[in-house]
Amino acid sequence: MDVSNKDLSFLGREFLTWLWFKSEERGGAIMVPDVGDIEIVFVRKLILESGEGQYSETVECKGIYSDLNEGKAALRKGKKIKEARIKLGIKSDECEFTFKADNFQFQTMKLPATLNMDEEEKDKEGRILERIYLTETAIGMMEKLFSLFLDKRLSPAWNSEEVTRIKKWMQE
Amino acid sequence: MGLIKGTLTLSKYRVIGSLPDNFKDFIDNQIKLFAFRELSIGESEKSVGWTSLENVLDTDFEYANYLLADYLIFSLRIDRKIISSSLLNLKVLEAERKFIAERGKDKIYREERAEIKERVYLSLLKQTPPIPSFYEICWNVSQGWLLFGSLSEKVREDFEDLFKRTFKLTLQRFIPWDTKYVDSQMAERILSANSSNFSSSST
Repeated sequence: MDVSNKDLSFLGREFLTWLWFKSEERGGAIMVPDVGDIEIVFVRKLILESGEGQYSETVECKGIYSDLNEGKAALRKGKKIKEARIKLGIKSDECEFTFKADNFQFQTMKLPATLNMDEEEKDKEGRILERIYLTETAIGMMEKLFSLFLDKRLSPAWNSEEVTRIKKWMQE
Repeated sequence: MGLIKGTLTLSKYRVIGSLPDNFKDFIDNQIKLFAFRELSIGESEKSVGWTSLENVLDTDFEYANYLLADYLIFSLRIDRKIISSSLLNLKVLEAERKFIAERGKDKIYREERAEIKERVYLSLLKQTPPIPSFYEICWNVSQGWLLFGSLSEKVREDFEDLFKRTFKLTLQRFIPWDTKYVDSQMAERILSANSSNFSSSST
């Protein structure tokens, strides 16, 4: 079978499902090797989908005070997370972005405040470099988390252990 | 994208290929060669080119102002003329009526209709001002990756095409499960994975 053109975007959607589960497992904290605990919280917006093309069905959960329970209900029905708004905290820096799972993309990323206004005028280049650094750090952390997921996802214990735990969490 | 302020929307790329040894001169020549040029008043639908990041009107890139530490930062400007289909249909109808009146016949052949539509379209294009849009680029040359400030498929295609023509390098959209960029054993494991079933009806 030719698998070279196989659509693997389901890995992105499963990654988001796993990430949500991992973030709730320890109240928002995820242990990342060589980094320590980071914070991941799913906030306000979640888009889930099942099926493909004209047969696809989408569920959107949105709202400032939404606890995303509808999202869990949709997961139980077999939908996968296509898009989520995520708050990511690394040490004292916190940023927020919409993550699009199918193509591993970032939308409306809000970075932590950098220099104050007076300093900004004096040092535009420094401010841009700092913003690049913060962006790179956020993207790099999502790549690191994906790599942690992929290790688990491709291990024999995925179906026997992790999927069972994820299903149990979905019932909570 | 928001490198200077505001929120950022971005796609990541791998930059494939290598730059010549004198890459700073090469980049300086090429970015100026493919800098944005205003659409001449005419029949072009689109104009695409590079501008500086901090001043979108700057296409001279004096003192290599796109260089910042390890990064090259600049913007893509796309000017597009958009003609609404309702306006086009209306003008085509008017032109067809005029054509019939002048010819004294009540029938227009298919080829004639296509010709009228094309003529009307080009005439509207001449009168329509272009709408500009800007997208930021942050390129880490030594590490071979780049961030681009749009997720739109059409914009990304324009960007990938202009980047290739300018720098003679190919952009590969960054997807962490792309099996071309992992070792063969890992690629095989990724390709053999099938979608998991989390639904409560499965056991």
